[in-house]
Amino acid sequence: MNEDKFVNQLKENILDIAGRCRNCNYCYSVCPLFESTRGFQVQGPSGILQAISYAIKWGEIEGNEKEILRDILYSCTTCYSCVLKCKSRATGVPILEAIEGGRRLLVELMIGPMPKQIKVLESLEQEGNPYDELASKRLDWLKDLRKERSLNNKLLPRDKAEILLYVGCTASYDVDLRNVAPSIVGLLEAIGADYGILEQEKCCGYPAKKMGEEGLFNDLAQNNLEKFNESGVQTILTISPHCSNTFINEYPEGIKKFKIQHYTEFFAEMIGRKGLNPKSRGEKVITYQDPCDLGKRQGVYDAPRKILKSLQGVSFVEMKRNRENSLCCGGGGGRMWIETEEIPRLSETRVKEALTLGAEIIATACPWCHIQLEDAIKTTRSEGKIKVKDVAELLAESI
Amino acid sequence: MEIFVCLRQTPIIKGEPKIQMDRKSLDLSGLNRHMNEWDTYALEEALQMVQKHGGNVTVVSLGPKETEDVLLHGLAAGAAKAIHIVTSDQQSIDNWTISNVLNHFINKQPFDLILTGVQAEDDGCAEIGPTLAYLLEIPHGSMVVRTEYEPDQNEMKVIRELEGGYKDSLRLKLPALLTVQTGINQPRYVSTMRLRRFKKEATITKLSFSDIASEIKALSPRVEILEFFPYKPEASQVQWLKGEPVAVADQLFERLRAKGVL
Repeated sequence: MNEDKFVNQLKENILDIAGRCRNCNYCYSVCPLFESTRGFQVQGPSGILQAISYAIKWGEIEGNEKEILRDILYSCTTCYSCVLKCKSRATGVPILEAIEGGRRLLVELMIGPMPKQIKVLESLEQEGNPYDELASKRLDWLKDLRKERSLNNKLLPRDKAEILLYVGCTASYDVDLRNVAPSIVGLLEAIGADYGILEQEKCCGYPAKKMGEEGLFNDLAQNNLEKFNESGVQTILTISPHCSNTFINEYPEGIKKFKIQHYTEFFAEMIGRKGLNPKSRGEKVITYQDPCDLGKRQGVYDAPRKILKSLQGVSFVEMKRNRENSLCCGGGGGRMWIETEEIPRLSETRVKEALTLGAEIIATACPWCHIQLEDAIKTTRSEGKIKVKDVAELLAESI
Repeated sequence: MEIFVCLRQTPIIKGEPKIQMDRKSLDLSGLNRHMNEWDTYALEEALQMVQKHGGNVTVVSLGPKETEDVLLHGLAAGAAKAIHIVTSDQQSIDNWTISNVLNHFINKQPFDLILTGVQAEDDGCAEIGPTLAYLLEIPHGSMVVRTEYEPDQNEMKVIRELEGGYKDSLRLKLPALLTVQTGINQPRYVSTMRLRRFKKEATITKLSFSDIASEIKALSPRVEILEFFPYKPEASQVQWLKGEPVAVADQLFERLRAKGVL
């Protein structure tokens, strides 16, 4: 079987990356996992890297401690802070490549992923989303919206359009985010955009990629790329930055012919043009949670801020830790489906930080940040004092 | 140890699938299929046993061509051999017949243990394991939640799950059959890439169901399905509370208070 060759290659890649780490520990200063746990060495980037590399060197991957190794590898949120810090202060080790490579290795050896993530992968394969929801119900939000108002959207690839609005799984199914996709559709209608939505959209593959299921990820990527090509679009707008980052940085070469944008980038360019003139909002103080996959991964910091600052009557206040120093909400890297040690929860820390600023709204541009912060508002008993809103919702409400 | 694991491919039922025109079964067209959930635990238990004590796992399944998928899964997970007793697509076979066909095949093989899931997701009958044990004239333990092989005595000690939170423990002389309950272990995940490699390279032994069945004297179905129908809850029993979560919680609180529960 070619399995040994494949597994050995994964191991070699990890050892090569680990060999470049100088153990300077700069990465710990920015690691959300290290901040929210008891501070063991293996609860930080370099420690996770050393754990997998020593397990490989000592032939202990499939030993008695394999589940402990698995838990260590899957606890990372993949926020990318360590990679940026290592680039700026040390030797630029691609730490996450090794951690994610370790996950792929564990999946190949049938040790990973985490038990609760198995159903997620099965759902991705069977229904094209990670939420065990029927594929046939993915466009229910659009059907409901069409009952309320007439829309000019196309259905791709049956029709053709200039822009594809890639809705994503969370915005399609999650009750907490039920206003986000309609808000973006409303904004596209307001500017008279020639846009379409895929009739049979499937997950971008991010959860599979992060859980180490490379084969499933490749299948989803190929399927999506074929649909994008058939639809004849030039631009793909995403609601989730996980989707846009996955398209830009993980998809096959064929994706490069499309212009991929997170919706904040697109609408920031449209402010003041084509019917997108934000007016006054009732709430006064808004802060912003930089999603890791939008900011740290794609360098998109200004676009959401431009939108928020364009809302008249609004006072925008920055979180103390913002932009590339933004604190991860804790939901990335497959952690939406597992319980890990968090003392306190990262999202609760963020809500408390926002409250100290006097913010009435935490705006965000990521469905998972949205869900994490929404939950944290409840668990910190902050309902009534602050709420979470997507940037799209705020903009749509103001025009 | 030589262990047989009986696998079944069952449909994944979501939403409201249609019932066949004859009203005796589900319309399975368009439904995804997978390994019966209970069988995944049986397979994992067998693989862990041979990892600890040595030996081989052989997976066996009865069904049409699509059944190959569960057997490939078994091989990719670590089984040494796979046997596919091939039926035709339209064949509806009762569990007595299945048990007899499995008995007819397994009877001729050397084995120490047979594992099956407690029941199948599609018919929920929980018959095949105990029936097969009866036909093979071997002891069996059902609803097993823990196993312990004692090689010196060639015995299996098991704990069984009963109702009401009770358990009992049994000791069985091998060869024996166990029906395995969910939760006994954590079934390993077999990746897409691993499955593809095994699809290209693995071998499944094919046997004909009709050939085997024809060798069994006086084999005929013992059960006839009269009707297959969905459960319809009485409308008056269900009240939907609508609104935002806080409003729904308030309504629920008032109803429970009115009933004297709170």
